[in-house]
Amino acid sequence: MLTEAPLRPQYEAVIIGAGCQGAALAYHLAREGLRDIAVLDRSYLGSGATGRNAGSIRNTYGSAEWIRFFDASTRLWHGLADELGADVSFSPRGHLLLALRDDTLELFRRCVALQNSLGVHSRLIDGAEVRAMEPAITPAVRGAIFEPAGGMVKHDVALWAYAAAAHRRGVEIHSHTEVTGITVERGRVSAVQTSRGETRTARVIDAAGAHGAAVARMAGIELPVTVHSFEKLVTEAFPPTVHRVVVSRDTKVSLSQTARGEFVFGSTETSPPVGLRSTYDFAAASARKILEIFPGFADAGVLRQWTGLIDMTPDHAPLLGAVDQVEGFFLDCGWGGHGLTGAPAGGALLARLILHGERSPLIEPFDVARLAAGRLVGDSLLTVREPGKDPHVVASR
Amino acid sequence: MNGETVFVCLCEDVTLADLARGFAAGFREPETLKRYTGACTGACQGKLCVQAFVESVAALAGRADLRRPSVRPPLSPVPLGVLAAGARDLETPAC
Repeated sequence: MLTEAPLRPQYEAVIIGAGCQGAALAYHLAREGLRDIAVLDRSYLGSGATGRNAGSIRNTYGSAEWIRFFDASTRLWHGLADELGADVSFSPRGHLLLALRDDTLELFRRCVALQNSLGVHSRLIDGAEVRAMEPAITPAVRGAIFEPAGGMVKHDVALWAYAAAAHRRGVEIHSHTEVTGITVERGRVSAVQTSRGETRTARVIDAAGAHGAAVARMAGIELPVTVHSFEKLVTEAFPPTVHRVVVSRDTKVSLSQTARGEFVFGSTETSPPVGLRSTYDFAAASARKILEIFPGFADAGVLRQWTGLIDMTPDHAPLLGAVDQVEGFFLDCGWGGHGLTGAPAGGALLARLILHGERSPLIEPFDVARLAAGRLVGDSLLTVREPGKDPHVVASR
Repeated sequence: MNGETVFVCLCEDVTLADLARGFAAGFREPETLKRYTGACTGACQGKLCVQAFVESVAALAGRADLRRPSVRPPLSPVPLGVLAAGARDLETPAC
């Protein structure tokens, strides 16, 4: 799956970052017929946000751009094992986005109508129906958006399946290969410098996640992204108790139960400074929020917690496509925690843009030029506004 | 010695043969082989097995400079109820 040989002197494309985006893109570039592709990662395969998230797959968003793109991606998840000829451990168990407040339920009503008009089979359910589906959830729940096509994926297994499928098609994946510079000559990408030597290439794709802005800066491009720490925790294993992926939109906490029986919780509750350290404050505040939703879980022991880094754009939407300033430099970053859900569609559509110039209406809204032009594609379901506070981003990862 | 009956990780039933299969599949360092086999991710979180695990990977890889997988808190399992009782209000950074 990984290449142990030295870097070759030249590639047709160099992808920076061996996470789900980089691996999916490499697979699709190779599938479209491109040869001599290298994927470089500064650490081990899946060492970034791909290997640190909870694996939620969803298409229930609140704006047309997001719904169209992520529904296309969710559909691809459903066929991915066949596409790659490998287990991807996708469990289409359904996704519940909970409302704890009546005004949230009103927002959900509008979003479900939009989702349904775009072909998503989500529906609004009331608190009693939520409790009938998931008896462990608090009686205080007001309702939910239920989407049967959503679910969870074992992130590492899916990444390995993409990497192995790409490798079978001749893609070289070089781990522990840190990019240190990008050469731009007369407005065109021409070479990449790494900790293992230089290689020449006319195409560079920035799929470096939290390091995406640093990589773009090497090509002379400033990206308006900020990096945030998102923490997760996992408990001891229990018998099957929670059957669907559950996200509480109002209190920003998510839960899914793994095949081994552990509960994986995520929350946006985190303390500065940004980094990979795990914090007591997260564990304590998250525990309180978890017990608000699942009051019966007080005795569940936390086995471990960890942190991932998320790169966030001003509208929280990804950066997908070419840049005006440097020919041959493409962005596949700024995913804000939605990169795993979006990997199948992101990889497939960006590959066609890079190789054939095909501008799919699904990814066009996520062109980086939107930010300077003020065409933001924010999503009403993701941002929780409270009086007197800056908006928070809901935990949906 | 039959690797199928030599257990490296007792919590997750990972044998030497499991590690060898993972290694052959391309998972050639402790962090990736841990994720592939589940070694060191069970109830003890590696407290019993991590030394044997890293030494086994080192033997497969033929190198001695391998780092153990990252240690994650807490040291022992802590119930959610205990953590919640200790919670204090936090300022969430703006995103």
